[in-house]
Amino acid sequence: MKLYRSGLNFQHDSHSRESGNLQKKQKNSNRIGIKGTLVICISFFLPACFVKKQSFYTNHDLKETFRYPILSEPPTLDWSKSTDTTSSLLIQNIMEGLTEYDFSKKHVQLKPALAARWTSTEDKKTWSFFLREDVLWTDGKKLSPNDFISAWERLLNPKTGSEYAYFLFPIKKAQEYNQGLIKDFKEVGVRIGDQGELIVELKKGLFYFPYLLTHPSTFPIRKDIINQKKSLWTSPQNIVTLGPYKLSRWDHDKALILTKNETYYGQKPSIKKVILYIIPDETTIMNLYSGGLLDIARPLLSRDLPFLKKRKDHYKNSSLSLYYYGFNVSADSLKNPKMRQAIAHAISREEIVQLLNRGDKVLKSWIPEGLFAYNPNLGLGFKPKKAKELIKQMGYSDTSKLPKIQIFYNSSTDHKMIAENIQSQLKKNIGLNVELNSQEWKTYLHRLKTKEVELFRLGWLADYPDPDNFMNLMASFSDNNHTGWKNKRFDKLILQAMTTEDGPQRKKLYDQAQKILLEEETAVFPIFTTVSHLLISPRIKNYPLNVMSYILFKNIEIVED
Amino acid sequence: MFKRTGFLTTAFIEKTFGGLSLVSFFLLTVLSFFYYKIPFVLWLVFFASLLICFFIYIARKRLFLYVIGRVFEAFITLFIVASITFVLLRMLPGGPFDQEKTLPPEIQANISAKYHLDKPLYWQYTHYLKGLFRGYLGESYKYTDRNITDILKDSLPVSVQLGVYALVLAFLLGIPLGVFSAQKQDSWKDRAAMIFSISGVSLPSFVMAPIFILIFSFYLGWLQPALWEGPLFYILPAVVLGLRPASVIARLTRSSVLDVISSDFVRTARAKGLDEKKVFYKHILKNAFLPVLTFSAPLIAGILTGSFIIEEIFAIPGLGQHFVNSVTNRDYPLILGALLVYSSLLILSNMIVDLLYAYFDPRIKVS
Amino acid sequence: MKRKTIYQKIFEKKVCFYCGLFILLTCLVALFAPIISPYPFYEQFPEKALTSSSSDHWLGTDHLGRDLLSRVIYGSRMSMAVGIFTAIISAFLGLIYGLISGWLGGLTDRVLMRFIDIMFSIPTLVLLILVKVLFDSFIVISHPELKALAGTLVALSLVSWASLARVVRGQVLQAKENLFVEASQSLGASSFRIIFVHILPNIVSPIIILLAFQIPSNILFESMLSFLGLGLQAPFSSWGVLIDEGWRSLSTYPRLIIAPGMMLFLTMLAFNLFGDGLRDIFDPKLQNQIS
Repeated sequence: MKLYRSGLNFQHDSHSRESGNLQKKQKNSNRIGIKGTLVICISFFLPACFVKKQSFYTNHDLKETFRYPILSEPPTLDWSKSTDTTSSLLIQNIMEGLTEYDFSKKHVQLKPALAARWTSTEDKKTWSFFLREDVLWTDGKKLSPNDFISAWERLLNPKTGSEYAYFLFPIKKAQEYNQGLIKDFKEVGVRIGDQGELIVELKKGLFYFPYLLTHPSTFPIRKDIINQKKSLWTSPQNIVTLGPYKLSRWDHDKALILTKNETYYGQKPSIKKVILYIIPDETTIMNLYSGGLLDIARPLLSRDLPFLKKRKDHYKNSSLSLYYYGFNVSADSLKNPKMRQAIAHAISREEIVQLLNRGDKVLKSWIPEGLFAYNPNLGLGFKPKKAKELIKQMGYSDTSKLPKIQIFYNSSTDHKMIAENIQSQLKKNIGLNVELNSQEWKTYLHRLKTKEVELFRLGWLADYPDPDNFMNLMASFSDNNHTGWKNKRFDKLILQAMTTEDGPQRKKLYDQAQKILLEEETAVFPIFTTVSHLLISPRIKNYPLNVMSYILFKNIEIVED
Repeated sequence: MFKRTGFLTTAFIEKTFGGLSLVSFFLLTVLSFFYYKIPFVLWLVFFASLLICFFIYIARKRLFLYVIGRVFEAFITLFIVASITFVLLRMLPGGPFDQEKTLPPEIQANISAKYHLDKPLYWQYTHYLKGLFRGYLGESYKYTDRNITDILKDSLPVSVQLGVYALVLAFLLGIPLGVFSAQKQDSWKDRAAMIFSISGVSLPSFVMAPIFILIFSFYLGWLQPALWEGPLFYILPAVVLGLRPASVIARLTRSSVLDVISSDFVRTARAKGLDEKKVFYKHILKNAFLPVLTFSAPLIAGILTGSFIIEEIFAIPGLGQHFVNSVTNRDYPLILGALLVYSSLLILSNMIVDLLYAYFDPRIKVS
Repeated sequence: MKRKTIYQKIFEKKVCFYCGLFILLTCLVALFAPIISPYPFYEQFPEKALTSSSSDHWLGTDHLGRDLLSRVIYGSRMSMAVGIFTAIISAFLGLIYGLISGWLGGLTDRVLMRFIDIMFSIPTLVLLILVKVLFDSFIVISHPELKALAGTLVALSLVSWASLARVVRGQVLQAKENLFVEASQSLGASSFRIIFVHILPNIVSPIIILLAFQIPSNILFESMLSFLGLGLQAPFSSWGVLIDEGWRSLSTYPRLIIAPGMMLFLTMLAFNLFGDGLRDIFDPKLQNQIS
């Protein structure tokens, strides 16, 4: 009765004499067996065994190796399909596009990369890109404009199922091709000119079009390699690239190794080898950095910052990003713009930023600092008195009668801290009762999609350094507008600004639009621009810090002391 | 010299190959632990001897039908596990391609079509089962260029490696400790051993790991705090993973040794005047091992497939992380694949343990 | 000789007695947390964030300037609640399941036990996460404390009843073979009567012992979920939440992990030792079925 393993019946055999005899025999043979095997093993295998394994990760010359942590395995290095930041980081270092960011000026500019120069017609509708002649792929083949055409065809092809296909939607007929409405790619507005230049025809004038071409999804591909190796083409043995580094090893979930590309057309990088360790936990990254096993610690947890900020190896990097709370305007409790304004007036951004203690920049307007048309005077500030007044105007003489409001956020330490703080501020300043709802990430996204939220948090990181990328978000036609807020005047202003060149007129359009969004209708409540923090080992020089979080290893240098 | 009876009996061959597989197993463990290259022959010897030993054992005990029955049952269980989790997964809100930046509907449609997510659920289910029948586990939604088999092939060996270290530690520490404290029953040594083991049971891994990192890598600087590249990296996670089962095994062994010592057949054996050592190893230990064996089946499956917390804390590229991450990513094929690996391992180790009962206690008949 | 009552027996076993006392004390602390704790668990003193222990804050403060002692005290409330309530729910489920399976026997028994086998062949953590996510997304509760707990409670109960059911079934099978059951059956007693009068009393003690072991394992799983960030909703704290926060600042403020880690460890220890003691007293033979 000792065991109740199902499906088995144990029967106790009463005739144990028989098995006793058997045991005796077994015992004798047992001794020979073990001795014999020991002898065989020792004589055969031991000499062959003393060969130490080569570690790709510990056997390296530190003077030529840069060790960098990434939080997750890159989902794919196929740049027509990748969408996440980890993959982009890698792709940007092994590949290049037609254009490249130039961070030396106040606002982000472009500099030529694979395209030596480009021109456009007056209406910014047709663009021509002249390629460099000296670019070689790692297999020795020359870069041809056809590599771009096949890349864009692949990106837009519905069968590829690419998530970033919409980056090329400004091109004539590209969207129709992606939707499967037209089958022939020749109808799409991309062709090769007489001098071998790449000519792109757009649907309508878009003066920031070259900025889109810094994005990995628009990089050229080698169709022949992809056709030959199918989905295995991104493995280190097969992949063909043209950037400053090449992929030389990829141990899934563990680490990737990049080595210097000797055939790179530009200035060759100074570091020979980059090891990217895949470490999913921020604390572990910090532990490894403390142990001298990493050159960079990033991202840092905000709770550690008060301690880390005092250190010499601490650096800050502000990015073109936005952390905001959105109002679901279709929710009963938030239908009234006055209610939304009252909430906006009742929350002190400074308190949140102070609490987080990461040095984030308070943001009242929708367009973050560092972009054209940034205007710090727009947006609703912290005015608790005004907030109370608005509440009174709505007819709530007694704050206890205010409806309860729910805040939704996805489970994460920092989001939790912010939500908790907003909860206590709203209670303190206007007596509003707030309930917190943390949700697992995908559930949260699903709720946003189905609008089962009231007050929700979200963030946005610039895809390209143009205010359009931010203003576009809240247009009625935007898929990322989860507030349910729609305004025709706003849409019109946005569309008009899209084709207007940078200048006072464009700024005016954006100012007007932001006024509607933030002050008149208050559909969103921007809180801050994220400043990320990192630790950089003193032996590393020239680590790139920029607003697009565009990390190119090629300029980094190592100084040994 | 070799005139003993039964030199070429099945039992002898079985013992030889059993011993061979055991020795090669330890050699494998030690070599991999010290980061030496493992000759292919050793793998071959290990698996071949293990298989031969297994087949002879089954043949000797006439268990072929039983094994076939169990394997058949296993397939049914796997099928049901796959079905239940398939349904549960699809009930979760949110899909694999939902992300912070919402995609235009036409692109969502393209992606859904590519991964057949636009088809009705029963179609997807039968499609998945058809694939499973051919041994094809599908493609990952998150790691778009890798299919599930590749992901499992990359991550399972790492988890198994860590798991084997932990298991070796658990058995090599747990059993002697249990036996030791049973022998010294009620002395202070027994108390000390039991305090140690009950502490091991009560100290969860996510408390143990940070404290060990703090002591051994921050303050003492002996071991590495994370990564997976050699003996210095292996020790901490293996110890953290192995200490709890070691403690459980120690407790189990102690109590079952005490149980067996007071049982009739041991008394009889002693009364017959058998050598005390012989009594101990032949009768007591062998019988006392049974409860440990029962405990081992789920333990082995659980430890070999990796522990999420330990893999996360020590940044180990094993299978355990996929159990949690693929649920949060809604990577349906990956979670199903990982679950099937776990279930098959569990079923397999259950079966082997059941078969081994008959070895450790000849009175038990497996049927 | 006078027969000793259970309480006397427990008192005689010193370790068991002290562990029981410790558990009782923890329960009382958990119950009266609002009275005992020096500050509310959510009150923030940003200016005092991350200070070490002082006369105001015995265990210091965390990154938001919340009193760590208060958070540990309130943490015991959540952890103990999860541990105990889950154990009760799963005991109830397991009891019914095991009774049905063991009493009816035959095909029903085999099917029910096979179902448990299947449940066991899905890793507990995965099942927990699945149930938790499902529950949290479909069921909305407005009571804040309950809302924080409910998902974890349900997920844990649904996962942990199976092992109880197995033991109950075993005990029922054992009890069924007893002569007095056969006797009362032949006297025409109804199944219900036999179960309630003859079988249930016989399996009460193993169930109590099992519960003593279930509670710490539930506390452990709750802590694990919280450590993974899937546990309680903010701003409630449990030991798992606090340990997670301590781990996050391991290289900068390692002291944060000590207090909650210690509490979790001591509680687990107390429950395990208490369970051991109970088993020795009630039913020494049960050893091998549990664990």
